[in-house]
Amino acid sequence: MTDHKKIVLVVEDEESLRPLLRDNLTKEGFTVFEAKNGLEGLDIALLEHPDLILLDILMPVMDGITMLKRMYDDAWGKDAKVIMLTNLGTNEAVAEALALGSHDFLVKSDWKIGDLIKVVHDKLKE
Amino acid sequence: MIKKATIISVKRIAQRTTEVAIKLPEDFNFTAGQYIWLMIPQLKYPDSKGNSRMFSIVSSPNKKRELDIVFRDSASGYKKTLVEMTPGAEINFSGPFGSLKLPEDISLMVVFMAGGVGVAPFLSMIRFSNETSSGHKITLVYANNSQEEAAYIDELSQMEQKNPKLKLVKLIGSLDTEILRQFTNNQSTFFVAGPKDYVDLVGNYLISHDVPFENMVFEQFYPGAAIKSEFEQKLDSPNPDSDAINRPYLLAMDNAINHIVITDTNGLVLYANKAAEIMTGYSFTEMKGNTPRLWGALMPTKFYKELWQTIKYDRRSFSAETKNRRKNQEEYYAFIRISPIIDKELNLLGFVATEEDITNQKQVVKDLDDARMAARNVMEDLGIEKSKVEKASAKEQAILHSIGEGLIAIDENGTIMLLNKSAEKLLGIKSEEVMRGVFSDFIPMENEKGDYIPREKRPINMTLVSGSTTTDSAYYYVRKDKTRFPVAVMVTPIILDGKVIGAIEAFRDITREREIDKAKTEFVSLASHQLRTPLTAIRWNAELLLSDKNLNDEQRNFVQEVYKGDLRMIDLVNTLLNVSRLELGTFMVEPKPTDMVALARSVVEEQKPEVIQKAINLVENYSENIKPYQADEKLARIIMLNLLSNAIKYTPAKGSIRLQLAMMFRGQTFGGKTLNCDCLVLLVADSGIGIPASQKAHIFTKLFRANNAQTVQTRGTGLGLYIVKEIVEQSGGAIWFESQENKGSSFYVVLRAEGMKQKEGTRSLD
Repeated sequence: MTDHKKIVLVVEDEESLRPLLRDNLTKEGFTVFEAKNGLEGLDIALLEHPDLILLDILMPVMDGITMLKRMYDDAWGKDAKVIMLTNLGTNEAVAEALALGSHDFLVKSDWKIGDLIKVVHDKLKE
Repeated sequence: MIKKATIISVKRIAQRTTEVAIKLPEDFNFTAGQYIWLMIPQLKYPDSKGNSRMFSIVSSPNKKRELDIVFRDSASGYKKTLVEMTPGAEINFSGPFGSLKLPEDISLMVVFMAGGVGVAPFLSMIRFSNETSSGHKITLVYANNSQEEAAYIDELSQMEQKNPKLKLVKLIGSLDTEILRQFTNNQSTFFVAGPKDYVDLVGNYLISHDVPFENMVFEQFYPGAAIKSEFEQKLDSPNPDSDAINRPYLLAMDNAINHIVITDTNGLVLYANKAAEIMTGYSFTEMKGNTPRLWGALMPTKFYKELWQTIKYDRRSFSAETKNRRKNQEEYYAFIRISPIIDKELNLLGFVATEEDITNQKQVVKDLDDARMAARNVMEDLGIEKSKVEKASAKEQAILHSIGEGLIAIDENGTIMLLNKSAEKLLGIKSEEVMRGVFSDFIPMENEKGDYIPREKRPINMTLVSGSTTTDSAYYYVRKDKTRFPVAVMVTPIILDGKVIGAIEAFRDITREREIDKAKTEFVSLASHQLRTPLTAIRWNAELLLSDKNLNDEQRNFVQEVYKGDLRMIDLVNTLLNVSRLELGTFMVEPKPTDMVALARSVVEEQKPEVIQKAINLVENYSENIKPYQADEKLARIIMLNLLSNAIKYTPAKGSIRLQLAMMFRGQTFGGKTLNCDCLVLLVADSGIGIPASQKAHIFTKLFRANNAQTVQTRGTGLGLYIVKEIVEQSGGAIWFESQENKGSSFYVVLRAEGMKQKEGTRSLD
């Protein structure tokens, strides 16, 4: 499986951030899919079955939590690897999300991009 | 009071007419027209009527130390004795009596109707009027049987000549009443005195010519030996053995307890029984020759007018309540009844009067009225008090019911005793429905998730059990219609004699508050999210740029600056977010057993780069006895991190920092203070720039940075210590410091051994 490029799905509405993530992850050798909102993200996820999803929470059309919940209705979705990326602090809704399954939860502004990439690598190795 | 006097002289002044001058021992005052009782100490000739007689004083009051009386001679033992008295003989008298007097209003015409020696009081008055030039218009109609008998005629004529206001009308022989016609006008006051027949005649004439009663004044006795009617004779029989038929009645009357008085047709007393004497205080002797006005005369004139009209002219009996006066001046209320005495030939012979002393009844009635009035006052007062109480009670009720918060009162068994209006409204129930029911049955409570809260866990029950106040804002009340609302509850115990006998819960619907809080936190979240997003973009792009080896040094510097600035902003946003959560009190505290030493080590580890860079000597000191501490890790971390990063920031290169964590006990000293608890203590001491004395007071305040700190390190939000203090204190701990400028600072934190208190909130701090 070492040849197989890992698929990473970036679900992020911010135009200033999503392309940056996409480009840097692509540079790292991943196949990157991107989605602008939860609905798009859901469709792509269920279609492409990415190895890791970087999921923003606050998005238009469908937010990250809802997408996560909808994914859980899917057999594959239940076990999907997800890293929650957000600039919201912790709150109950997020706690709810975390209760659905243990996912990492990162506040974007607190993380160096380099460290973030490292986390992606580590998560995929799990 | 009987006064002693002596005879000056006894003179015959006209036919059958005697005048006696009496020397007065001292000044004796009387008004013209009055009379006296004259008492002869020892009668020379016996007289069944006793030794006292009434006489009008004929002399003027101005005659000092002497008074004169005049009378017609008669066969009575008294008069025969008197006529034979010699100058210097002792004689007694009492008085003066009588109310005949000149009217005060001199504009009134005065007509004196004198019959024989009845002229005596008028003479006194006329003499007096003359002497004092009183100005009265007086007409004296003086009737005598013959010229010879007319005493004082010369004197009177002379006075008439000298005084234009005095008119003298001499009448000799029987009175032709037609003569009187000229005098019967309303402007005159008629005074009538003389023998009985004379008085009757004149009286009748005046009355029949509509002279008002108030304009008629009669002398209270008949002078001289009047011809008595048969009736009077019988009544006054001197012979106790005669009139045996009449005697039993008199005897009966005398013994009767009722006051009985018999008068002649002019009201002059002919007989008064013992009861009458007792009631009035006057003896019969004193009454004789007087009318009952002796003890009456307290009623208005109209009264007497009506009385007289009824008994004399209408010949009907008269009954009325009167106010009388006893001889001793004591006033009493009497019910009087006067009936005319009419014989078979329909002649009016006299009057019989009874009196009933009703003072007591009147008093009783008055007392009763007073009592009734008092009772009514008491009733009114009670009514007022009652309404006051009712008002106060109503007020309390009103207050109770208008309190916006719902109020429930329960007894020690949890039975609902009271439910106010707001409670009814909030819960959608009526107090009648739940009164006396068990509260947990009727007012269900559930948590956020919808789990039913059992009775034991409910705040109201906790207060009943613990006897202390309980507050809670985590639950919901379920209404009758199954809808629910979040509720803030405060329960206070009702304690009597040290025992909890009930509790009162005040609760309010905090839906709105929750919404506002939610809105606030969402706003804060949203704001921080909105701030963080561009900051993240800047950060990552700067980092990528910095990792580009193609930058020259200058460019690298620029990017570094951009990056540093951005990191500061991120830091600030994080801090602001925490502060807002602290302010809102919406942060949660989730204590878990925490390895505080490990936490401290990890915080130190994080700061290692800076410590190394500044070549600071950092010493860690962790005591052995620290057990897992009940703490919210995030909050504990914030405390340690802030204090340590401050120490590092404000300690110049090559300085030293000590971090100490220990378990200490009550009584031990820490940071200069004696501990009053068993607690976990944290010390962060540095050898840095210290805090200037003038700045010490503000160190923990928001956004405050001491000036010396600002020069050293422009970066710094001024919020770090504020946050630490808030967390420490809201956890039930304490924080303080010691510092000296340029020497260093030591921060002391004390946390209770029990750990941080659980706190429900919407957020944790970052």
